[in-house]
Amino acid sequence: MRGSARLLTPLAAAAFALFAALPASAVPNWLPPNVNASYGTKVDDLYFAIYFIVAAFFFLTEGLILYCCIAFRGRPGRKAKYMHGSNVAETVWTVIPALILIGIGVAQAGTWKEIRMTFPSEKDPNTLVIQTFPKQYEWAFRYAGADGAFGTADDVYQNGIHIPIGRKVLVKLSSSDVIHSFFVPHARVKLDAMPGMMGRTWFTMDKVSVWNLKDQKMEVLTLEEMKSKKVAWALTNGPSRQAWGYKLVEASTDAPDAQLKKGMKKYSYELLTGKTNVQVWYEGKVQDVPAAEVDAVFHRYEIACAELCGMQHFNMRSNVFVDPPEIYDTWYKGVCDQAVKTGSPEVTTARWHTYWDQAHPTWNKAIE
Amino acid sequence: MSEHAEAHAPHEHIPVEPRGFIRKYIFSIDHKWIGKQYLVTALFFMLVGGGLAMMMRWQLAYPDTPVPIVGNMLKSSWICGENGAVSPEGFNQLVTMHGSIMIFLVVIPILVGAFGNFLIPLHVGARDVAFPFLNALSYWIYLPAGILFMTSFFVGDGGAGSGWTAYPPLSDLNNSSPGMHYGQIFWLFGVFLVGFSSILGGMNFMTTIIKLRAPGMTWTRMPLVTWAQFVTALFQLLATPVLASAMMLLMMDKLFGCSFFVPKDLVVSGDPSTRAGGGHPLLWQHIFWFYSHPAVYILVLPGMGIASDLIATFSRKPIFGYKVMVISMVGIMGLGFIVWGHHMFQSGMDPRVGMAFMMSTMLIALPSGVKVFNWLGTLWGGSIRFTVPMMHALSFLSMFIIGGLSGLWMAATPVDIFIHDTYYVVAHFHYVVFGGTLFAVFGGLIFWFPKMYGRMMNNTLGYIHWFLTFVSFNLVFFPMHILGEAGAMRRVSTHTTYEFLQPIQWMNVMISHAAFVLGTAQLIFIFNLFWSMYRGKKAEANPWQSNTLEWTMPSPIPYHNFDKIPIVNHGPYEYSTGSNGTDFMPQNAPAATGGGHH
Repeated sequence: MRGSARLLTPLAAAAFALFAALPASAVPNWLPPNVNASYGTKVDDLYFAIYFIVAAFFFLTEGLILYCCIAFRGRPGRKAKYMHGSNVAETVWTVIPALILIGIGVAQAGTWKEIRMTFPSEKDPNTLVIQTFPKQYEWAFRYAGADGAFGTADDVYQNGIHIPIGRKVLVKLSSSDVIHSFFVPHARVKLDAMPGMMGRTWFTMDKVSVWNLKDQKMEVLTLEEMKSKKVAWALTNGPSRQAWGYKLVEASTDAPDAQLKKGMKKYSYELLTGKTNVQVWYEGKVQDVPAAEVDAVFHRYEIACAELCGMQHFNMRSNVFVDPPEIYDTWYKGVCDQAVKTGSPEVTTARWHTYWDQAHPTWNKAIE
Repeated sequence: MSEHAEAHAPHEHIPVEPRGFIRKYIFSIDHKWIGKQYLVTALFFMLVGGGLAMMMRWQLAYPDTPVPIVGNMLKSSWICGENGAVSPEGFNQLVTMHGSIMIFLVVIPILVGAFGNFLIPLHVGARDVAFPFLNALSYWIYLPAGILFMTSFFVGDGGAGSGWTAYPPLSDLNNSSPGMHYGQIFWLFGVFLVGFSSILGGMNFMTTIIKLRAPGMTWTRMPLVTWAQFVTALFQLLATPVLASAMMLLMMDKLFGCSFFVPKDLVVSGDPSTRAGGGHPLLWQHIFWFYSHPAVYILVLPGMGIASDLIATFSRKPIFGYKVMVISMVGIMGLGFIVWGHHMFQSGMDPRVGMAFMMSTMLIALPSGVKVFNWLGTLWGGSIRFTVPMMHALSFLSMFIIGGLSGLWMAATPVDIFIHDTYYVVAHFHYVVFGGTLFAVFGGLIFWFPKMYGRMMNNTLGYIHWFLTFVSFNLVFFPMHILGEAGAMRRVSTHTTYEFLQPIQWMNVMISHAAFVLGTAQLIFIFNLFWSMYRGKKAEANPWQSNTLEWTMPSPIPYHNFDKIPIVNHGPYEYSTGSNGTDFMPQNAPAATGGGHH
């Protein structure tokens, strides 16, 4: 017993040391790229901190099982040791895990408080407030419009959202039928849209999603990294972009491409017919360039519904476009003008007016 | 000792086995037979629940492709579309019914109904449970509940499809989605009945353990299986009525237009709700999880008990820290009642409450952790016999560790924001309920099979089944952690709908193939079970050289259990005492052979 304890202590110590010494980059990371500038890093850091603690315990305990199975396997003549326990050992393996657990609990409390109890002021003009009122099976968003107040005639109604890079976004959400859950994986944001009550969540996104035309894949870029690229617009980016040049093509499962697995899609952007020159965002301003020179197209982040909401739940998705500030301002002005000039479809506005504005007028008030 | 010297008089009444077929095999009041009834019924439901899982896995790997074998039969039905592929509403039903069947009709009934029934009277040294008639009634409520569940598929426009959690308003408004009307109502009645059966069982087992212990069977001489059943019975008695009330309230909403869980001003596909409103969906979540979190422990505690017995027996060592093992179980029960809110971190519940639930959730990891170390302490210095039951017990231990550790991420509220309602959660609870509990169930069944049927289960088939299950289980559920890390939502029929999930679709395909192996491997177990009932090697009284009272009787155990109520002189885990020439000491061995305390 003492002999094996002498052998095991350094083994356990080595297992712990190995994991303490592993660089964080050695950990396989399947998380989607993190673009939440406010608290995203803290969330991911916490994820990996727990990863290391868990890995240490995992290898310690599973290693012990294996060790016991080898060292203490039943052989002729081997006698098990008759013992009922050890107060010292049991105290050790109660107190140490207790301290670690309480430690993890205390360590994350600050981040939780920051995410869920400390909101940017809605009265601060730098806070972009977006209302979300999903229904089966589509997302519905509302911006305050030119007058900055919700529940008025100039409100802007959208199926997806645009947000300016680096600005604090506060989402107020509820639902008019069943529970949906607002999930933006890249922003580490999730909150249920609960009928009968208004929930709030906030985040800042500091990276733009673009589709790299050369490598045919999504890339996540900071404003600085974007400046050296010529990035064009696509149809999916919404109305009022007069100079769009591309459209997103999602090749369906029936595409005659042998490489495509069932259900897999192939994404690409196609130049709209008749276009030779397109407008791009390049070196911090809008310019006209030949289509051949375009490096990338403004792409999206996805919004998913994470709460089972009925038959078409699997298909309830939408997009977030993160825009450079000037682009966002142009887009926002465009949609605001459109809202005043042509108004929004009555079928859309009626639901908001009846079930949000009239049923819960306080939800439109700005919270300090 | 003196108070135990005289055996209780009521124990000396020896019941006579009824002769008639119906009294003997159908409406039996013998705890052993009722246990077997539970076992066979639950195994049947396990095949059904597993079959539903296979269909789900097919759809996830090959979206909208006709399901092999059953697709043709189910064409244009409530589950499959015209081409025989799983339809979106069908997928929701599969998710819902797989979860509900596995929890309510398989795992709880096997653990409590089969093992509890069969073992408790034998372990405490009684001739039957305290209320044999009530015991039969529990089973005869459970069976119709199961039939109601299955009927849910065939009524109206399909089975319940709101998840096993049945969150309102989806489950509440009859027109919210296909299957939400009659299917959901049948489901609610089924859960209500199964809960009722659970309450009766809990009451019965608690009374049996408190009142019918044989002379000398003190609380600290009780096997941990029975302790686990005792704590589970308490859980059932305290938590299940809350579930029943939730089901009642939801039924009143659905049948009589009440509004316990729906606010006013709702509109479903342009159709304004006629409910008065004033209720709240969060109320359901609180009530539901107040039961259903403890239910998670109902799902695992008896498994822990079984594993404790197997690990001690096959390590040939007393369990390490018996009292701490018991205290941990009681601790899990106490804390189990104050952690339900961790299912609701993203529901919009007050974040300050979330903070409190986060701390209590962190703490509940502690008693489970202590148990793990105590099991390791039991293995340490033992003389381990790698029998088939022990392979399952060791699998329980190593899988439960993974299931327990992965819980830490979800307890950490900021991390939970991301992984909540993703496959991470699916991986976590399958590691606990399948990796933990079901391995313990397999181990326990093989271990006590000789006592049930008087024969041994086939060893070779046993090892093959264990190996295939262990490997394919890990191939199915470990990658689900990664799916969750990548953000894949649970209860979504087609992950390829989302661009960000495209790169990991290959993993879904791999998982599904492993799942088909896992499912097929279970047929080996079922075959072994039924084949061995009739063809297995005849079992001796104590084939595993174990200590507890059931092994002092012949295999199979006679109708009346004990010819004479035993007098218990030792704890249940007195192995390798070195005092009686063998490495085990039956609990009723004469006190003079010495050695044990407890």
